[in-house]
Amino acid sequence: MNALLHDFLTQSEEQREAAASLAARLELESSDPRVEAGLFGYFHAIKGAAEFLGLTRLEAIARFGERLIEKLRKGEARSEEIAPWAKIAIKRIEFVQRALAAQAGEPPGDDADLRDAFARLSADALAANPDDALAPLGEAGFGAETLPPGRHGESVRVPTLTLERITTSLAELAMARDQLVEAARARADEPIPASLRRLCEVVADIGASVVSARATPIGRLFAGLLDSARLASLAMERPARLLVEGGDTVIEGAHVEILRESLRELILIAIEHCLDAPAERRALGKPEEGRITLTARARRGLVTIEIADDGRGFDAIGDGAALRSVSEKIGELGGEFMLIGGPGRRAKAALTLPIRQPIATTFIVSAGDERYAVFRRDVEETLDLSLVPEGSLICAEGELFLATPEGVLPAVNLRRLLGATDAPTPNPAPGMALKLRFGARVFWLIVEEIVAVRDLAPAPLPSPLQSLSLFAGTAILGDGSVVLVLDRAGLAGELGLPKSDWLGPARAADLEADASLVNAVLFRSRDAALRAAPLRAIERIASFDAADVRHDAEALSIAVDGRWLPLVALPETPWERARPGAAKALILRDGEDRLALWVEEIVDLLEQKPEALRATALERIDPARLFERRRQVRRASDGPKGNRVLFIGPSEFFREIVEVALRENGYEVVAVRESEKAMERLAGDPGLAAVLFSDESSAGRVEAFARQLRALATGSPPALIALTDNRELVGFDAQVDRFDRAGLLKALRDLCPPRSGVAA
Amino acid sequence: MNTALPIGQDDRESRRAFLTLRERGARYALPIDCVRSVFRLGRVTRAPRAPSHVIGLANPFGAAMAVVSLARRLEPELGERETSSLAIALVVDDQTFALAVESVEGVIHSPQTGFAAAPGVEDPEPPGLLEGLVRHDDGSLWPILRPLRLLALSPRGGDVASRISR
Repeated sequence: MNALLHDFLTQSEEQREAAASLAARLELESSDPRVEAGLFGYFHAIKGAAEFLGLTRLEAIARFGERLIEKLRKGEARSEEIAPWAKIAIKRIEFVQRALAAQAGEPPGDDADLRDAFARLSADALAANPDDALAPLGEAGFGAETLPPGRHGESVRVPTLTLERITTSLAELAMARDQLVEAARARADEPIPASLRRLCEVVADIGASVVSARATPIGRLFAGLLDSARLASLAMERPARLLVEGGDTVIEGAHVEILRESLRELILIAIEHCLDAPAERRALGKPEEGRITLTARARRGLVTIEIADDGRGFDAIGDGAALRSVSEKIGELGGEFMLIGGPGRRAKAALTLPIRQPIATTFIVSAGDERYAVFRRDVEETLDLSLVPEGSLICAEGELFLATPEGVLPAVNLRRLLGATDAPTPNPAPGMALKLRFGARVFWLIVEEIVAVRDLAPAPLPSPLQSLSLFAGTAILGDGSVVLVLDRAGLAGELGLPKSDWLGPARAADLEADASLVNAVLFRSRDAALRAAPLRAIERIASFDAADVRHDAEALSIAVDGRWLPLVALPETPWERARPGAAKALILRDGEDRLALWVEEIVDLLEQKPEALRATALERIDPARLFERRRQVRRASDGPKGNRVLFIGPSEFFREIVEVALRENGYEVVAVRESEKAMERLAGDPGLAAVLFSDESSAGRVEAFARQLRALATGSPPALIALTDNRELVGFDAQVDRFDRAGLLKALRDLCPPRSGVAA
Repeated sequence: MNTALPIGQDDRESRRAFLTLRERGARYALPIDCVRSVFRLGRVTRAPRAPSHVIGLANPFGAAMAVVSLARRLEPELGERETSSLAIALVVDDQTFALAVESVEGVIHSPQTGFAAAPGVEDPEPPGLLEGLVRHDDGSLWPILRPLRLLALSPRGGDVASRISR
């Protein structure tokens, strides 16, 4: 099959789902110009492409559809007369296209039924000659006045292969750029020429354009999903409405099919298992029609799609196998699937998918004589091992751990892992550690050196290396050599950390009824009682000084990773200030939420069957309950956030632009030029809703500042938003291009909506 | 049929071309329509945990390609002892890779009837590295390598999904 035909069939499959949905709407609702325009556009596009490809039968069917809609527009037929035939035409197009996809050519057939139908519907001259329905139309038949608005010159189709070639050429361009930059750096006494700076900007621009060209708005899937939800709701007799948001969020074109399948699966699960039956809903005082909300948003090269319901939530699912299947499919795309939430907070299903970047910032790290690349976006933090106390790297029973003031995390020595040496590495030469996160799993990657930070154009692993799970792909360095890009999921797998995070950790024990063993940490609490906490809910163990525990609003908190976390000390008796001294806490995670559980001593690791554990007198900690109690405390103590936004940046001009945009949208802006002033301001104004940071200093400095801000914040911290171009920063809640006004407002609305009554 | 065919007259329309090469003293032929170029093997990046016949990755034309050692493919027990300095870039079924060899000799043209099929060739996916034999001008028979088999993949190329976007 030639590439053009292949692309045509692929694209029109998506369009066909949308068209089928529109035809269904035409049948159910009275005529709507947008529905008519959508259907006309579909038939018109199919007709044009079929004509170009010499597919005469397909062209004739599409022309029939086009003229049907024309009749509707002219008021010559009613929508209920047209809709059934529009649906038949769409089905017929699907039939022909499936034959084409099977490389069987256009199937024979004269579509006389369609011609007859058109004749019956026609009251004008065409009715006298039914064959005209499928005869070629003159130009007047689809003149500009009949075309849907805005279809001229908006887009062209580009074969996927061409996009791949552009991506490859971009990689070569980036390589040449790096060589030039290297050469310019070698001349330390001369400034980098302006032309080279411009070249760097252009390469970045092309990279962004390629991302955009490869992407497709997720809204293209919505029509089909709405249809599926409607049909499932009818079939299961559970009235349900699917609400969608974020249709302009873009996803990788290559992810469309699997994503469509996964979302449809989740929506059906939600209708069947999460929504109560109408009678039960009535009894609960809810409207009979249930609501399922699908929200898509993008952040830092990742797209997150959440599915929520107003029923019992995904907690109610009996069939974990269906979720596991979704998790596996999403995992194949390099994404993650998890449930977020707990009792009292209906669990949502969340999918996260990456967007492939033609040019990505990477750390080039060394292991022995070899170099590898790590995506910067995967790295949460870097640590110079020459600065950590001796003994921080712990080698226990062949496994490596790195102890930092924030706690002990598993670690992997890259050199040892990749076979450059067989020696275990309890005390390696001073090197660097990179903290990587994959879902809820966090671990350290130990390397000898971070050699450089480079923008590279990653490419897939070539044959026959695709099965190497440790690597995400390859890239070419400035000196022309090949570097392998490490895969965080593969590294996590090497450490024995599960690669799939399909269940929210706090909910997993309840849902996996068939789990044969329960892993739990047995610990001694402050009252010397023995208690057990499920291992799967524990992110890690952190150390802190008891004197640093903060006590306010009837709640305890400690600083971990530069953020204040709620601290639970069992039993929850009135607080008495603890004496200074080293203390430990289990850091528990539930979706995005974390809390610390104070432990005096970790006694053992339990591996028992659930019933055996239940039979003991041991108090089992239910993390979900702890999280829910913390949320209740937070809701009670959190007043509404203010509308004040702190802007930090040296440019007066830019500050003015931002101020105008935000004030128009209900925010009060406080501006400072320097970060030191911002610290003072933040310390004196805990009601700040957000901090906007526009500083083109080095990424390290900006990220360190973000960490300081978080450490300084009390209660619920303000949202941190970086206004920056062409770089990825760690530690911010959102990152927006400097002149992306709409993006900034959306980020603000998402993270800290203005108080009610204020326009946003 | 596994029978060697008789050598027929030289019919230009049915002639096939082969690149001939040597490895560990033995002679082989590769169908020339799979050969993209011959290049001197420069820096090769080791690919940990790769199959033993893959030396690593090279970048002869601006993109990474796996370098397969013919010697190791033929003799897996050879380990890392062989050191080839020459490679042939091959494109088969949209898959590009380099084959490290001892030396390249030249191109021969041979009539279709100059081939003998290897055993099992009637099977659409026959096992083994050899497609058949081709007769050289001097009358000797050269084994024809089956390029895709050198990768040790199925003819469809196995899993080409990439995890690059993670």
